[in-house]
Amino acid sequence: MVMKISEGAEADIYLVDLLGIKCIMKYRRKKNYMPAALDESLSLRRTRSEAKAMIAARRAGVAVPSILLVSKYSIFMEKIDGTVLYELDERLPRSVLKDSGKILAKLHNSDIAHGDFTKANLMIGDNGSLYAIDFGLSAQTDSVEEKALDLLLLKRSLGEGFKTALDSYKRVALSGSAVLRKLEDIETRGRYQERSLVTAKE
Amino acid sequence: MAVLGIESSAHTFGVGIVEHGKILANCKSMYKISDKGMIPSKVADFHSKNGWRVIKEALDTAGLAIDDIMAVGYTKGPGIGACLRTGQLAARAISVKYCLPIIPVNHAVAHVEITKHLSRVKDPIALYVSGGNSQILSLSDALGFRHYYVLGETFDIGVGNMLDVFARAAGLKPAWGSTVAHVAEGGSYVPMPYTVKGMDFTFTGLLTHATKRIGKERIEDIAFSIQNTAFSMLCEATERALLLTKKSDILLCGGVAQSVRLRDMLESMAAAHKSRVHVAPNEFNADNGGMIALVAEKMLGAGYKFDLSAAVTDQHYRIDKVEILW
Repeated sequence: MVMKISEGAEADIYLVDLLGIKCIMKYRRKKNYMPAALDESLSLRRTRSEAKAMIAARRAGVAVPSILLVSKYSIFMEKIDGTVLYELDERLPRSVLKDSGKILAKLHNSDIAHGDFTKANLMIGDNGSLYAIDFGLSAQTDSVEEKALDLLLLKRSLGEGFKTALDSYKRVALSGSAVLRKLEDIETRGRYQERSLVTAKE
Repeated sequence: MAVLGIESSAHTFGVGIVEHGKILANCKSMYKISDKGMIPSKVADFHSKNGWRVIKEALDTAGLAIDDIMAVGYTKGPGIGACLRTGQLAARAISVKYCLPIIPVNHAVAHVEITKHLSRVKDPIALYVSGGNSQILSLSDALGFRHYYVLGETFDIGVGNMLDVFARAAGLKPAWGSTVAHVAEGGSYVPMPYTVKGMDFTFTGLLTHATKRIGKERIEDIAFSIQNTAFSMLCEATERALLLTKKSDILLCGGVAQSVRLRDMLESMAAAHKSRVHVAPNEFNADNGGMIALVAEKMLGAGYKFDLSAAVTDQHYRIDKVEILW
């Protein structure tokens, strides 16, 4: 059984049966518009770093889907039943906002920059815990700038709720003040300081 | 009655005349870029010397006299301050002398709107790429007013500026992105830094890398790779925006929309998602007065109340601050 359930910008998500276990296969499809060598190197690199980051995230105590198998352009992972924050219309509960900040801080403490840390990539499982998903643009790095960009994306995505998330981020993050200083620096790079803070869906 | 629009945000002084959405004239004079780029005061001097000639040429082309004009629009920003002020001054002079309403227009809104108007698309996402700007946009009613929401944008410089700077560093003449495209023919791909963050992207890392490779690798290969890496980044970010918004039309606008290579890549991406790409004729992709006149007419039609004291310039006039009244 192989069923395509969604199309992302860089990968397609399939529901597959792996040795009797229902799981998610994330397959990086070929991007015909790019030079083939660029496409190939991006796909390989991203698949590998995504798998590594997910394993590192789990080790850091962040809830992520567990990985079952990794091939050249595909990752097979546990299927989480739940809802992506982006799909929720009501105001996010404080506990969820806090957890989002805590998750990001834990990732950063293990030198993982998520690369696309928005409501589209946070999922409330039916079991109640908050999962970080889609590590496709993540990087293993101690770069303060990369970490600050994660915060910037979260800020833009959460809007008002960001304050709550930031409080718990600061409590958990080891080098939070350096990242925050960098965030201020990025935001004062002229044209971005006034960018409106909503997501496209709202 | 027609509306006259003046564009002067960078090297082009453009004058357009529009009546009921029909473009009657779209004239321009362009400052010739030497191999040193643009010196704002020199470009502004050029505009103030040539501006009146272009305004007259536009009236002649449209077969109209100044009495047939009912309002004058101009580019408020974003753009180069000194250049913006020449267009603003011309518009104010016309407004005061002939008692006409004066309408400040956002340059980026104008690029998107003219392309939307000419291709008759209702609700697209837009990839706006020019020398100074690179943004992915979509109309939104969030924050209580209708505006172009910035889904993604460059964190540093515009893609056109990047290609121009590379062309200058490589000694290509004229120092334009299109010259890079020309040299890139016959080149092959060598790896270069590729930076996409969600739907945002950065170009300076790529520029620095490519500039350092000059002399170490074939110039064709470097040109091919800087161009294709940058365009791949734009296409990937746009692909992400397309799938996130679930829309099916993509507008490509701004000066870099003239690139045949970028169009091909974007169309190839869109085809995979059964979406369509819409591009205006090149005279409307490059900076032009027609688009300013068009938006000024739309603003007037939507009840924009003109006010001479609001007729200022703003170098950093962001597209997401503009209320779309129509």
